[in-house]
Amino acid sequence: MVQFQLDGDQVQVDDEDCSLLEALRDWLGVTGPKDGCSPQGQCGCCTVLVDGEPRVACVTPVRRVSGREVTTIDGLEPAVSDQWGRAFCATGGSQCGFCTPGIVVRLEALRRAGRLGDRTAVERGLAAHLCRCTGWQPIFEAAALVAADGPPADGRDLDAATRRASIEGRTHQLVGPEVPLGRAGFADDTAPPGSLVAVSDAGGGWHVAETLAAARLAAGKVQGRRTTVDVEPPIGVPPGDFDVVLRTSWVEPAYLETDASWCLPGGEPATPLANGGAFGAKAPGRVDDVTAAARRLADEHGRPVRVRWSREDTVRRGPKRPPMAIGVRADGTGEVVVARTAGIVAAIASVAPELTVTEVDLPGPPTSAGIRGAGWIEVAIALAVARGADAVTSPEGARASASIAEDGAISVAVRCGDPLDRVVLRSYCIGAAHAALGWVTGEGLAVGDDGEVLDLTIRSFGIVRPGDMPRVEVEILDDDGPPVPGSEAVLAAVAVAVWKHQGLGDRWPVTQEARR
Amino acid sequence: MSSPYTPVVRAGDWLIVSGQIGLGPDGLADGFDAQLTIVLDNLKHLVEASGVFLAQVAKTTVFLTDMADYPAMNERYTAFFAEHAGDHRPARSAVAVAGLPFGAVVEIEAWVMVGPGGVTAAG
Repeated sequence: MVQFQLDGDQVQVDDEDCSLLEALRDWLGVTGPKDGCSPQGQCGCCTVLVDGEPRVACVTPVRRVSGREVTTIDGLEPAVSDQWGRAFCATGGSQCGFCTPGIVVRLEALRRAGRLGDRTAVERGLAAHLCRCTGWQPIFEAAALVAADGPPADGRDLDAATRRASIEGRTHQLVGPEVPLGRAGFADDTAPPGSLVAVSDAGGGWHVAETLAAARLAAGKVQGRRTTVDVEPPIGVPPGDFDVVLRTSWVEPAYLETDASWCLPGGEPATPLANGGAFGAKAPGRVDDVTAAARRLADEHGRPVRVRWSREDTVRRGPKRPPMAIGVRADGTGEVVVARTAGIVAAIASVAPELTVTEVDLPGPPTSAGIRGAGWIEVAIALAVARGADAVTSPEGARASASIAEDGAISVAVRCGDPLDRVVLRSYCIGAAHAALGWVTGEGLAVGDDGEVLDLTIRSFGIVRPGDMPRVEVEILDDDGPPVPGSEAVLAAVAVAVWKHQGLGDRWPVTQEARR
Repeated sequence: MSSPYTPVVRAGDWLIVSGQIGLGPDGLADGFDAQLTIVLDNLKHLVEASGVFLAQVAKTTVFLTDMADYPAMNERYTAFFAEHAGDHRPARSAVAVAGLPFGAVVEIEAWVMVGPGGVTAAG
């Protein structure tokens, strides 16, 4: 038995062998700290304070905190967490709200140490976290606001902000001060106490047990990477005389909230899309869906069952943008060879009807045309470069342009109908710039010749770190037309600018260096 | 290929991370504390970007130019592993040396076992 102070209360846990995160979430019902990659200890979503020092809870054995004081996001003074929630809301520092509970705890430790105003200290602290939505800058801004004892109250229309977030994310996404605090109602947090837990093994079979630890034990251990396969574009460009050639590689969407659902026997399963769509990767109705498993297992066991994918499951089995090889001419003709994917031909034709598209069967993880402009973005980038343009227009009519200054700062202009809420739209645009920078320069997922995904840990995908993210200036152009998603056009436009800046090498990522 | 060494080398089931010194974007950081911060950040990044975990670090070697920094190094080093890898403590050698490249005062290298046997404390 292990006893410790938890958010001011004395608690005890019988299981001495579990991690602190399992103790908190599975035994003590504290769902503020999130599980984005356990037991990898690399995403930072489960960060808590132990005697005031940040600790990654999923790699901390619970026996290590015996007699000590543990503070989670849920245990911060109400006035303190309120200030953090409002600050993140005011800057757009949180979109899905899954990474921010750990980040807020980390930043609160810096605030207590009087170091929140020190940009280098904040940057170093954030390096222990991953955010896939915001591009970091709005998080730095939230930290600066709190360091300056802000934010002031504002009269913002959060309904309009929620509308813009939902348009950009293409599924419902709430905007409000409770979201950064981890209270967006994720399926892994809302399952009834006493639910069975189901996890997947490497072959896709489900293992059901009373606790996550027991289920994982039954499913078997997942190893880290054990090979030296590099990221390679898997498809070649067909012969021809082209102005621009681009081969893309497998990339991991790397949404932080891994797929989860729960279901009562005979009930309706909880949605894995509680507060955002994982860049289109969690499209409802896809074949490999946790909701179907939750429904089936709940009926089978006659008890509520919580179903969750680990980080490794998400990487192996979650859909990716299909890799492609593109050769285009300035007149709009050319050829595309793409991994066979439902809807991808139409997506490409929506912006480039004169391209010849060939689908090929490619060994590898599943692909989806629903992921963040897959198909149209790649060909729009190649055509923009072939034509010497710096602006990209989406099939829905959003228009974005981007440029890179000598110091690396990225400037973006976007027009996408009524902005509805400039804070949210700006956050999405900076996040898109972050994604574009990574995609062109260093992101990739190593996949073997047999199609097996070899990179399973969340720090191996080459996501741009906070300290490596240049300043992004976003200009939102006035438009009173109907609102359409703008950040996908920004993703394309920034990719054009970054690719030009990097010398237009014919393969992405242009370098392996960022991964090493 | 201007660098005289490779930052991370794979040798069978071993991943070897070259000695890290406190070089940041603005050159060598000022003083022991700032250098050690960058050393540990760089080690973490190189290990994790290679697709493995800090808990798989089997052995480190710490080089100091002044053994007077030994207690401060221990404090930061153990806090680093406690924060990011629970109670994992790799085997370690710590030595004082006459000099380090670029005038650095601390350098740490790491050997990471990535084979199926894993890394556990043997006593």
